[in-house]
Amino acid sequence: MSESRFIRKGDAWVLLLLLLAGLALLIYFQSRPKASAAEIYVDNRLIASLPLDRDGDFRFNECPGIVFRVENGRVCFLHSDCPDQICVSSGWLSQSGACAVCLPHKTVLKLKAASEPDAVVKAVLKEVRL
Amino acid sequence: MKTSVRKLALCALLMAFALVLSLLEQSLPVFPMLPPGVKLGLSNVAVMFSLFFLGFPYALTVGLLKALFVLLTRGAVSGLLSGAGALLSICGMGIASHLKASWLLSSVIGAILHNLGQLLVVSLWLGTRFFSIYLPVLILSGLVMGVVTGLLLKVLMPALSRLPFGKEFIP
Repeated sequence: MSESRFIRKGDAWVLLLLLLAGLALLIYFQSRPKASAAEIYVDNRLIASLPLDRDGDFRFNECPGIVFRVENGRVCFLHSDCPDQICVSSGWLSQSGACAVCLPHKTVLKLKAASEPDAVVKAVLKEVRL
Repeated sequence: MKTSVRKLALCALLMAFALVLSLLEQSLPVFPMLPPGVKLGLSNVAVMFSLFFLGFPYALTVGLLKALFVLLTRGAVSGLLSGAGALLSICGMGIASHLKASWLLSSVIGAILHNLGQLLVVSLWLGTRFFSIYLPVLILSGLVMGVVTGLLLKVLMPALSRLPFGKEFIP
């Protein structure tokens, strides 16, 4: 087993590039605005939209095994009777575009943007980015 | 066809090795900080070993048999995700090593493609666009886990090459 088969000179550059791409995407998505409402989809159908300024626990007939909690402008899967509990371990969501999924129940929790910036703001943002 | 019987036996051993690694990984504590879906992917060590020393078809066999095992033990959803991840990751690593990429780089590519394959299945299935929000997570976790499993392969190489069949395949 030769050393050169394990690692080569060019590797560092590729890894660095991937790291930068990942970090850039992460920063881009983290900097998105806070969401105003959470949408709940079951089997790809929108069944409810929860405003994030109204705290409380919610349960829906379409996914009876799941309890959602809204608190301080964020939302989470509080409880689910699915075996893997991936949805519950996703934790709190607050950024627009954030999602958590419960595959066994085919349930998706997705946060909506507060409001789309209007055309003028968009144009300005475009200028700033360039 | 002495060699192919030996290869078959080694392939079966590696399959068992992959299962043991994946069971070991499940018994490790989960870090609560990490987002869901971020896993070490220890069994990739066995898949990479079969890819680099036995060839692409053997690696594919090990990966897909492992997915079948997951299907039987953890259910259809996990099995499908495991299979999709393994398929994309092994194809990616096969191409990478064909292009003379180093093991470490192949391992990272494999880890990222494994995550990507699973995310693709979830996206196709549920038809939602949460692909973008998870993309950075899967690139970064694939990067870290790929380096870890690549290093593990290097560490385990001396032990693996002591397998009774090893001498003829391992330089």
